[in-house]
Amino acid sequence: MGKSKDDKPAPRRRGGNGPKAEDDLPVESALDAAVAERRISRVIRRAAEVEPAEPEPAPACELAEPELAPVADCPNRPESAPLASLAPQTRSDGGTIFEQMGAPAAEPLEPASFPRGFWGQIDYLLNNPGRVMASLRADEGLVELARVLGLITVVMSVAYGAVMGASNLLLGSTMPLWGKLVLVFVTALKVPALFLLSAGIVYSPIYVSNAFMGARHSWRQVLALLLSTTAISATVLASMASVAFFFALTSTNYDFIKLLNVAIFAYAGIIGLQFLLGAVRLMDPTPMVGRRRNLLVLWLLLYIFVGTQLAWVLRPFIGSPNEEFQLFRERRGNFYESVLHSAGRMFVDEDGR
Amino acid sequence: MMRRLQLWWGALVRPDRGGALVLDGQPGLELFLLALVALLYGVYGAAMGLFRCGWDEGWLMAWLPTAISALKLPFLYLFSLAVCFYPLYVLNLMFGPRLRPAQCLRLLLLAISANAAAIASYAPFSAFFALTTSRQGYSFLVLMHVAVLGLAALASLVVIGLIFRATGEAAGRRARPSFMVVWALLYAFVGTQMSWVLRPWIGSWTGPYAMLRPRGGSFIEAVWHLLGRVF
Repeated sequence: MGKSKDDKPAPRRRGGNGPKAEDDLPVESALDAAVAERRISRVIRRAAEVEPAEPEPAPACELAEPELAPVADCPNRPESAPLASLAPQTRSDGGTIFEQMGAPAAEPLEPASFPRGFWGQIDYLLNNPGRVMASLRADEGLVELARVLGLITVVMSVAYGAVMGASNLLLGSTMPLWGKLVLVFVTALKVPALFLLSAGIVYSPIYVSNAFMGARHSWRQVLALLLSTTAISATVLASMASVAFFFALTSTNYDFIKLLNVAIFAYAGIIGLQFLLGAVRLMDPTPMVGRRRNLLVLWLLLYIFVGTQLAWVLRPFIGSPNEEFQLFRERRGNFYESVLHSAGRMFVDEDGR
Repeated sequence: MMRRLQLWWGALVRPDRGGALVLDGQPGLELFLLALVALLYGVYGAAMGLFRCGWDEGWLMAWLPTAISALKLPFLYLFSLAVCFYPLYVLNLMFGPRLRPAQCLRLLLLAISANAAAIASYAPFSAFFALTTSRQGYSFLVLMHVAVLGLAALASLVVIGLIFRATGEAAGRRARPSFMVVWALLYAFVGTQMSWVLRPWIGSWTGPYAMLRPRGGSFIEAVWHLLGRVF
């Protein structure tokens, strides 16, 4: 944008050649300068967006921090530079979170290019869901992408599962110690199984019904779509592990811990489904209307239903304090009934209040 | 040191400066904020524990309750922050201005320091009442602390909201109000449970002094059962 090297007040004032009163506090004046500079650049950017004729390909560095990040520093400041260019402000308010995060915009995004290293990949996934969606749409390098996403899913859900299984160690239950220790391992395996099996079960209905409705997605696209959903869900789930562990550490109430875990899973699932919705909208060449939209809602319900049922089949995850160690429990009742019972037990006194 | 203090205060009273500070940072700022927050909460914690101190119970009881409360209050806020940090960071990537971890940490520390400053400003007030209330006045003192903490929280929430918005603006992305609300709710959820675990805060004179009570139940259950007993 129209910014030259001349209007850079911050370094000059820091040098102290002006007779200003702020000179005794150079850091604060530099901060003020940063504030003013950002405001100016925002106004310029907005003005540029009003004119649709010239979509200015602004260098990302200038958008981010004009006076503190000279162009040579650009690769060192990845935190703001690529993101500012990624989120075009053309979209109005009211979209879902992932739309706001910059996916289906006027200008198509670059396909994702995951960095090496596991943590870098997780960070990339969380920061650039729009670009993951773009590569889903482009159908490029999806097998590699699926491998990365599958690994993220497994590692993150194993981490959360281990924490979840460890809740029983702290609950003061009657289970023998070996049972509690085995339960940690078993739950650490059950949570990834929950994610991967539910994705596997909904894979074929989604693929077939999609094909019949006219959206010809390849098997790779559907696979990567589902795996990116599970990867995001599992990462969000693992981010709540500290909270779950803290409550397991400080509370002895099994029903409370159980409901808390249900809430955390629901939160992770909702974020994942948000991504799924955004990605499907982006992948479809035509606008979603009528039957296609209904189909999408149907899918989401199907996915949720399969997930809860599978969670019920795979239980126990935490292990009730009154029961012996079991790998699986017998088929009885259902998920929703059990959640209601727990809520009832928690919120109603022993004397039936 | 003075310069850092001035910088910190300037960031609180002028939130646009605060936003720039959160994004750009200063060398050693995080440690400074951490120490400052611990100190400010410690001051109010000391005022809280003053009530249970008594010269007539020996030299230990003359200062121990105050010291324990002064350690517990910073621990409550900082440990809750540690538990919430990663979930809050991920929430920030999902809904918020997408700060980097270091920026996120600075934002949280700055926000919590606003609350600490507001609470610490009431420390002389609370200490005065703790020293002048009779030993039967426990329930009055509890109500007074609740009122003071509520007032301080209200005062600081305004500033924290402004800092959040300024940070979002400085980053060139909109920070939605709902994002801050979700952050606050999660932090409050963990914080109330933590404060439940760290009881007693004031300590009544009806029994012997206890540093911590046995673990059990949770804050929510306790409130629910309390409500059940009232109605």
